[in-house]
Amino acid sequence: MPGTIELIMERYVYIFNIFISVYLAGYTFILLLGTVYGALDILKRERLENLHNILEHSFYYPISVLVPVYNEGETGVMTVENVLKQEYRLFEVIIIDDGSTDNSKRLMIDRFNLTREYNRPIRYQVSCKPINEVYTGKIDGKNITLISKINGGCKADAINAGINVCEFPYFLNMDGDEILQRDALVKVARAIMEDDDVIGVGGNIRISNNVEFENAMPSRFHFGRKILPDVQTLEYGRNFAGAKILHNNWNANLIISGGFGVFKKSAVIEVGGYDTQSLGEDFELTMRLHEYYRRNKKRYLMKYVEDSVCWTQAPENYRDLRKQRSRWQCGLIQTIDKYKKILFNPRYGVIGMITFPIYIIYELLAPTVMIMGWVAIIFSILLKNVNFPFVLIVYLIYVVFSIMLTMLSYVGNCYRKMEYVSILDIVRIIFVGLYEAFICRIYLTIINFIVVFRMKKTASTWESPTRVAIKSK
Amino acid sequence: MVVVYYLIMNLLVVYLVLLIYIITNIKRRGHTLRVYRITRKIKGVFDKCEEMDDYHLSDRFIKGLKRTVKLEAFFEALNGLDSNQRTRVMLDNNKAILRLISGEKNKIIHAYFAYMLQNIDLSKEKGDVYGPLMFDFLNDDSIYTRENALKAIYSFKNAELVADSLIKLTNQNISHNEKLLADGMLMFDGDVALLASLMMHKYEELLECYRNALINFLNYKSINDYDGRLILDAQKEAVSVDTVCCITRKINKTKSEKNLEFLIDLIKRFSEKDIWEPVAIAVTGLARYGEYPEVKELLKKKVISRNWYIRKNAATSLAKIGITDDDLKEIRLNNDRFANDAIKYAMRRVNYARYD
Repeated sequence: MPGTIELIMERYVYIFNIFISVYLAGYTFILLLGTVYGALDILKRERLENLHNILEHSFYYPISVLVPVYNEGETGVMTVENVLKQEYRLFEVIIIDDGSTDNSKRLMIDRFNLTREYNRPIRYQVSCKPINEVYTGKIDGKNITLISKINGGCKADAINAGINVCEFPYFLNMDGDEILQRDALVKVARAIMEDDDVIGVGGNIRISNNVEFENAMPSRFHFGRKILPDVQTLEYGRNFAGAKILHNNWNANLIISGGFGVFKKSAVIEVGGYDTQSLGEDFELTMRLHEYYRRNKKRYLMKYVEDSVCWTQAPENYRDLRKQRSRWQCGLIQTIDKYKKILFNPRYGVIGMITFPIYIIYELLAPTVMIMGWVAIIFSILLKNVNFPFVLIVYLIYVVFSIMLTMLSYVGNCYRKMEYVSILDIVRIIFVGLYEAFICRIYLTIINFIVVFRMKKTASTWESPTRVAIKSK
Repeated sequence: MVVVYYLIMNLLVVYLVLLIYIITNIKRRGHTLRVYRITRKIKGVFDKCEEMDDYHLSDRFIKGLKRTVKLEAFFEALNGLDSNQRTRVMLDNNKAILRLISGEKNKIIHAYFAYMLQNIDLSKEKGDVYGPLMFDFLNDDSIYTRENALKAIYSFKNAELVADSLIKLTNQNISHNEKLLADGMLMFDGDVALLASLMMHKYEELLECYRNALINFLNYKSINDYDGRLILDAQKEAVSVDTVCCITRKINKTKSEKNLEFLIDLIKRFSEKDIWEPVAIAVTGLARYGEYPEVKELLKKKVISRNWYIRKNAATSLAKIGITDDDLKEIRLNNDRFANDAIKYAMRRVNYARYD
């Protein structure tokens, strides 16, 4: 019997070694391809912009900015104040108070001098919980509407309510704790103007924790003060931006983030609005739009605009990080399960054949593969079959590769903004990169793996992360 | 194998990081230095040639502007000079600059040069000198070159050149964004009436985007001389719904019996066809004609329309005209809860709270 177990362990380690070599080679190739392609694309766009090969307008395409708040308090007020600083001229703000139990509604009414509107007819085009009260006002010529509704238990319900109330043909959804950079709407509108078939535009989400703001623009960065937000800052820059730019080229971006996405209202209404049952409502909506338009062979484009930025708060402690990533993973599993028919279906083009499978292999299965790797290491140790120096070399090379990719995206950003790259920043990146590789990644792997077994519980609980006041003048 | 693979990958990334690191730090210093050198060079020419009143830059210098980094620095340096010096540099060296730019195949440079021209504050002579080049740039298939060239042309304040440019684009069957066109025409600071007249002269031949832009331009500039002609156009079957909407918005702005007749006829025509957009716009315009009983009757019918926007706009127009208790009762008789809601809300909005 011990011989049989030993044989099984040996076979497992052997097969896993082959599998992981191919898996990691594929992963690093995709990551590198995304980063290099992303960097080149950014440089190309940057050059065009510097040489004014752009369409610049600050008022066409009216946009409704939807800001859902739930017990957001002062943070929500600050978010709306920053939205009002936009350089873009034609927009309205819809604040959706999703049944807050604190004084959020009162704060909004007082700060923006809103008055109640009675009997306003509301066209319920997508499903949401009833809207009880509507308040309106005007600041600097911009219409502000506050709607107070029965709590729907999710952001999707609040955004659907906003869609029912907003008056403009495009809407932007964001979170109640974000800062929309002053030029964000101008850049998003440019993307819409370049092509009539655009139904969705995703912007770049960046981490605000270590940033100070002045007039809705970042004024100072404090890299190296809080390690967890720093890790996420580098992670966002490295993992998300490059891949999105690459996928953008194929019109195959699978997520327009719920933190900052602009959609054509009629297109979203056509597919029934946000799914209130989904935990990853942004991923789900993007997939539904892809699925609908490709199935019906309608022309459409969903773009990613890297230089249109919205600043969001990243979790500052492991508890909040766990909650956020569990929800993401849960939403990922739900949506992939819902749209599994797309997988390797040529009818859905590059989405079915390339991006969706990549997503499943390297996002959904990544924690499982990593856990399988740990099992393989344990088996190898038990079998006394480990060449420790070799393992160490491979792992170190992998870590260095990861840090170098992070650095590539960081220096790329500095290049664009014509900022100097200091040696101190390089040292900090190395330190943060090591911390990420040896601590954060392991922690997140375990979290994402556990979610699979706690789907029901994660899906039924919604806890707000701790909000931190953003430094803004 | 795995180690070798990762090593190659690592080397590649290290190379890229170093490359960008070096370029970044050089780029920033380089640009400032370049602007400084070019400014010094131009000022040096001015110092030398003060008495000759002819400020020619060397051929070598102009040829160097082929590089985009130098062209950028040149533009920045020009903006740092006083207005007289700027004009002299651009006009006295026009032949060499024209030769350089027109011989350049890179469309990005064309677009950038057009941008430079619209933003350099020169005397009106620049239109005579650089107008033909901008006119040629309209042939470029890059939308950026076309847009920047059009903006430069608007800045020359020459109505004939603007009209010729838009007609040229139509003749070549090149469409352009309608909103950009209308916005550009509104930027035009020359003889607006002449521009309108020249464009209307060719109205029939224009592509739809230029036609709609022209109507919006007339609308925003409140030029009413061509309303009759536009009304005739809107009555044609072949005219697109978008153009009819533009015309209706224009007609809504001016009150006259002829315009009222047009709006009523349009509402009937498009309601029969079940096309809602022009109807929703036209009912808004009816708010000006409260003294005509037939208008109120028509709006009362439209307030129970199946279309949300027609109902909403008709309710607002009715509320603006003024509505009696009998009218309200008549609307309520229809048992249309949505119509009742719409009218209640519209009345509240126009301060008729007593009917609540």
